Amino acid sequence: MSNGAEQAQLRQQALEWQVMLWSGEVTPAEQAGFEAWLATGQEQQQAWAELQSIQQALQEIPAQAAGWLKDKPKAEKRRQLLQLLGITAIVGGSLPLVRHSDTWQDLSADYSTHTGEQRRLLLPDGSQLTLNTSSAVDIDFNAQERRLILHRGEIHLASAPDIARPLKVETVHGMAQALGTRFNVRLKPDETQVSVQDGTVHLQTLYAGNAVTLESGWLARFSAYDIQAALPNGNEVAWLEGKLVAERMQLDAFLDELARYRPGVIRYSNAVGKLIVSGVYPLADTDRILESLLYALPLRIDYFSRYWVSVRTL
Amino acid sequence: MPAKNILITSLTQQLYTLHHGWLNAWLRKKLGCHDTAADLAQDTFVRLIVAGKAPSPEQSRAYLAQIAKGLVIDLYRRRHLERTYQEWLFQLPESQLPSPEHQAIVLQSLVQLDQILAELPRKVRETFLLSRFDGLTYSEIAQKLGVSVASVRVYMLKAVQACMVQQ
Repeated sequence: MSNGAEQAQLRQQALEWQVMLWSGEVTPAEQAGFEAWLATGQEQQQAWAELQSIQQALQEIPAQAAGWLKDKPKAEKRRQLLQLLGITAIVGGSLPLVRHSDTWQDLSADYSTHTGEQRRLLLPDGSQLTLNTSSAVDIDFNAQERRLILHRGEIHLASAPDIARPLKVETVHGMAQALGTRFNVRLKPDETQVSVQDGTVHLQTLYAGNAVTLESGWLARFSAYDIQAALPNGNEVAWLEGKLVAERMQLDAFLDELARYRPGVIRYSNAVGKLIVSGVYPLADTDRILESLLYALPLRIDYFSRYWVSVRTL
Repeated sequence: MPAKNILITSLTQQLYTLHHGWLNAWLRKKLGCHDTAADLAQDTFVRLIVAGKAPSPEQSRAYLAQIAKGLVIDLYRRRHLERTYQEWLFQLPESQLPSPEHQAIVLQSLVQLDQILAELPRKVRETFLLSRFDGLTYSEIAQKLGVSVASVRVYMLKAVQACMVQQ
């Protein structure tokens, strides 16, 4: 057992690591330093675990709370400024309205979400845009066209008809143009996946001029050169209802999906791919999803920290 | 029990007998609620014991009134947060509503955090909120507040230390 002074020192070290990990710009060397420190011994892990109760309490406080807490003049000013510009973007159940600017229906804005966050926006043309976890999109509306550029993650659009101004979603792989429709666009490392819930969407690859028109109920994946054959929709838009739906899904694929909604990493052994998961899981509580897997499957889950989870078969 | 504490306790008893009546009446008038007033009157004396120092007889009344006023402000602040949180919950779809126990825990964290932040310097408070709730990176915060990234780290450390102490 360590004495009081050593414990205080360990606590201080844990605090310093925590502050480093919160920077939002952790370098691989810093991450490795932290992991090495944590692996030093049980006392370090104990000190770290104690600190995580604060981290957890903070995470459970809604992001909006920042605005409710003690005077926060800068953020207040920024919000007012955004309102003046005709932009309100607040996460929540009610649909925030991105209002018309004074000049015209022009709108140029960037929106993004953190891991685990979803955000709904009402665009000036009446289209509804929803951003899934860890996503980034630029909105560029002008008199000729309504352009959205998806840089990262996943969006869903319920587009308002406007014959004069086509609505397009662009990714590094190409473009999806809506023809009065509801559709989902997910950007993956090597491909873009579009699934159509209503109406039709025209797809076009960035190079090679490949194009296809996708009907309601279908999904297609495309790279910058090729479009794969269309498949029937699965559960692509379950996330809109805050759900993760697995229908006989391999556990490794399931964990990859889950990891999108959870800060940090989930590591797993190759053997987990042999296990199959089915069920509807609430995305709001990824801890509980992990816990529920333990009841259903022969697994062992170790938490080195909230951000570092390891899943193995028994 | 050390002699000093016995002394304070007996002094508190005296103060209680002398002052509880008007304090309770004053709080009742201010809050318009019998039960809350009674609770806060009790809390006022608890604070006095925790503070561990007894006021001189001629200052007792002012001292107790000051504590009670602080408690009333805390209560209003708490109610404000409670209401804001409730309004926020009200907007959520039913499927996403946290359980009542969970709501109580979150509200408690919120109130605690509010108290902790209130006592921190403005820049520390802002840094912490920008980092933890607005999701800004340290570089972004540094730029926004016109300070160095090293200062941002120091502010963050101060803030999280304050959270740890409160816990």
